[in-house]
Amino acid sequence: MTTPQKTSDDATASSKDRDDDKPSALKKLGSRLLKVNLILLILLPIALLYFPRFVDNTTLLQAVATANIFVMFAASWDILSGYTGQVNFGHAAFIGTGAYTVALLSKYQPDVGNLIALLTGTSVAALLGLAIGIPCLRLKGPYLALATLSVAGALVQLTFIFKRQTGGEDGIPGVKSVADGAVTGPLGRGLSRFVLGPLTFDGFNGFVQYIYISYFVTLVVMVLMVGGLMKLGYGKRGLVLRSIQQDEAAAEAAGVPIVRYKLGAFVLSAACAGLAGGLYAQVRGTVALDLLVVDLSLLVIIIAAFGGAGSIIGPAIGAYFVILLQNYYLERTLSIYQTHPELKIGSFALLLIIVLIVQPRGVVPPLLQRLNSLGNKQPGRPAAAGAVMADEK
Amino acid sequence: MDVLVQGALTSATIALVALGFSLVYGVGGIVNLAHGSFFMIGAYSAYAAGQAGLPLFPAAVVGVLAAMLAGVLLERLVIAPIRHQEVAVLIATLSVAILVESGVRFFYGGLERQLNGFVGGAVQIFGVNLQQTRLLAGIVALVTIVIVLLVLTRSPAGRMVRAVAQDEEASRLIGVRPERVTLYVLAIGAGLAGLAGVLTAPYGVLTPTMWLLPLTQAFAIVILGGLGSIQGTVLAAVIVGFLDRFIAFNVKDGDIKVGLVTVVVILATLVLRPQGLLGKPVLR
Amino acid sequence: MTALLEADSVTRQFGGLTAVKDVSFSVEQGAAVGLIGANGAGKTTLFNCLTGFDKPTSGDVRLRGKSLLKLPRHKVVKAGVARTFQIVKPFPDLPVLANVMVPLIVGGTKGDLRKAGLAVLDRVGLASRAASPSSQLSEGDLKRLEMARALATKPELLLLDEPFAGLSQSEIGVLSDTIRQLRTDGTTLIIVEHKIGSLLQLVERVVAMDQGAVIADGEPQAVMRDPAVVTAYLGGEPDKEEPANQEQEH
Repeated sequence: MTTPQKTSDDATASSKDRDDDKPSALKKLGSRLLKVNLILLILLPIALLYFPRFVDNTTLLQAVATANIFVMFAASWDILSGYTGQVNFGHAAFIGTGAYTVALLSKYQPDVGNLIALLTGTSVAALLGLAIGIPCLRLKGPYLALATLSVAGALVQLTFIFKRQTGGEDGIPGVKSVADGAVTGPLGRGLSRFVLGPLTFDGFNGFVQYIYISYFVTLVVMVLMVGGLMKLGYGKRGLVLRSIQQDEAAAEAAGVPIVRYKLGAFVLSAACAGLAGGLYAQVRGTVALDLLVVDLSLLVIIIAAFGGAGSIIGPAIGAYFVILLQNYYLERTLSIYQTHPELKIGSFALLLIIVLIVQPRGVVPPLLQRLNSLGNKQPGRPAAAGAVMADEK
Repeated sequence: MDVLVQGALTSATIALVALGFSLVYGVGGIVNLAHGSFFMIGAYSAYAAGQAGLPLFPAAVVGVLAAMLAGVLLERLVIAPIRHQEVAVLIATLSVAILVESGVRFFYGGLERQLNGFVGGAVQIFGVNLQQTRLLAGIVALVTIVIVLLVLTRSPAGRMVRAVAQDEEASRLIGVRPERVTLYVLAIGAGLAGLAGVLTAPYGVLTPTMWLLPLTQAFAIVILGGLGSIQGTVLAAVIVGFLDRFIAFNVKDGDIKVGLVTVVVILATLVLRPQGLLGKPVLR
Repeated sequence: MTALLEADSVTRQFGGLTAVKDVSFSVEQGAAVGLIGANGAGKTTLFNCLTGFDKPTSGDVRLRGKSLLKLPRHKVVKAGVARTFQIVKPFPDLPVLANVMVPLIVGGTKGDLRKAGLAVLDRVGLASRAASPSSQLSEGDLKRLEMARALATKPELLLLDEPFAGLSQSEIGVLSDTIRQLRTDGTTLIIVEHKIGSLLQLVERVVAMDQGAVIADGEPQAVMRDPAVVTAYLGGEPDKEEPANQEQEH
């Protein structure tokens, strides 16, 4: 379901003409993929929306809420890295910027509402995306990797420099909660009425209320963001973005204003990550360095790798898989993950390395084929060196 | 004067890390995001050996050897199977870096550790008060660099390395095995980084995240110096090293601002002079 | 009448090397011009300068009297100059149809993109392969796809970089028919080609280059008899392909 053909089909799906004799195969494929999409796109959110009504497990709900956030991290990474091939190794920079902006606002301007804070975080992250995107425009492969990596590293340094404001290693506790005012807001009332049914927010204590609100808010924002990114990714713009990844010079020859598209993808990716990061701050009620460090950037890549980059929905599903496995299953079944939380990212890193070594050309096709050169199918042609550094070699 | 002397010494240790990074890139076309981890492995291994009761000097040797071993393992197990897939190598080596970090955290926790100095006390040079251990680090680093450069330019082994760097296929024709050379270079690069880790550990602190700054600085140097230019690498190391000390001395909280400046250097170079100071254009 | 494209004293230097030396010529609307020369004669560099993929060190390139030099590449395309690549550069993972839809999208084509895409593919005879992944095309089909993608930008002037390189004689015949059809449709053509025999059947004018300079310009038969051209070609090897696109080297 993540075949590249899908892109064009969606773009053509709007066609209304009937005189299609030759490309009927194309159409058939298109409608099949569309069906898959419909199921995923409509059923999954609805299922998730009604999930809490039937599953009374706050730990699980909390884990899913976190997963919702990570879905946004991964999907926002994908629209830049999976689509244009500018593989970002420092996505945490955008996430952390959004999160710290929200946290700092909550610390110094407690009167600012949650929504405004989120939008501010989004804008600041978008600006950072622009600031990084411009020097990175001409970079590919390792240069881009190291540049993005080091920018994220520099932000970590910044938190130390402004230790008084950012709390340094301790982070900023007491970020205004996502539940703040949400229950009595329109979203909370609507949810009470239509989704929770016999359950009501009033019946929950404060903590449970907070879990439910986290769950629903992250779900709504995630569905909107993923839906929007998919609409973009599977539409005309997505096709143009992919053309840049496939061959930059060819895209230019085809008239693609690559600067505009690449920067646009950078900014959009940053903005979405900032929004998700800001929301994460409100959900956790705290920000810390774990939102900026390389571990997070790598985790996002791992998630996208498992799910299949360049498809938005792939990384989204990958996020549920990885985060639920990590935050719900592993943490509860293996006590060592509680005493040594660093082993979580460690084991996923190890898993990724093993996958890369054992099947370099793709048991996990997403990673190798999509991340690299978006899989040329001819065997023997080094896939990785392909798209990303195509012009240097 | 302070800045000059200290800058020179810092440059030397930074150049040690950058040289390995640059060599591995030049020879194997491999950008090793785990290069900073060798630095860390060197430092922590020396620390561990010291904890186990070894005297300082053998402990230092253990550190360097451990880093080299890590380099060999990395090349054989991780890089070799995927070396022509650039993005895969980047992701895999970054994963290794994180794996090493999480391993260090597991065994030593997140706290800062300290290695004893090889030599105590301070000396005065050009009227500058210097910790002797810092001076020693700089001198050892400098001597090592000179040796490496000599080997690279004068010896048959060095010629082989340069042949592979220039044209892998052509070097095959004259009987060089690029895979072998890549392995050796990675091992040596790892050893150099490990040595830098051992040397600087006594006046720095050991933390699980200490790999990132050397990696960033090595990258800055490679970019600034221009790809494949040894003179460029050395010159850039000097610039970054002096900048490092200049900031540390003259800016409030300078020590923690070093990384930030490195990034600014990187981005500025990329924008203003993508071909580096002396190198050929590395970018389109 | 003013020419469609004018090259005015175009010079391009790489360091100490002058790849294109003071080249001037113009191409009338509707013409088909062949550009020939031995390896390293500067054809590809000139080609890149004309299409905005490289900037001349000095001189000017004008389309209908308007300089193209200040324009970014995509604006050159928008102005009406399209190119193909000698070493084909498809979007390998995208289906054939999607390959031509990219220029249609950024060109602002309204309405049914698929239909428009199929129409373009039809012009080069690829409509039947619309749904195939472009990585599965034969070399000859790839060349046509390359052309279709350029045509989808609705160019006034189409520059073809060695369209026949790597093709069999029969494939060349089919492609030649396609190129003739483009001319009939009113597209102005500049064709860089080593396979002189096939080229001469397509063009009514030939520009010959040697060592970066134009050494002959005129009717094909006259140019081929020109002593300077004969000398240059005897010295060079007219039927070998040029090394990889120079545009990639800087």
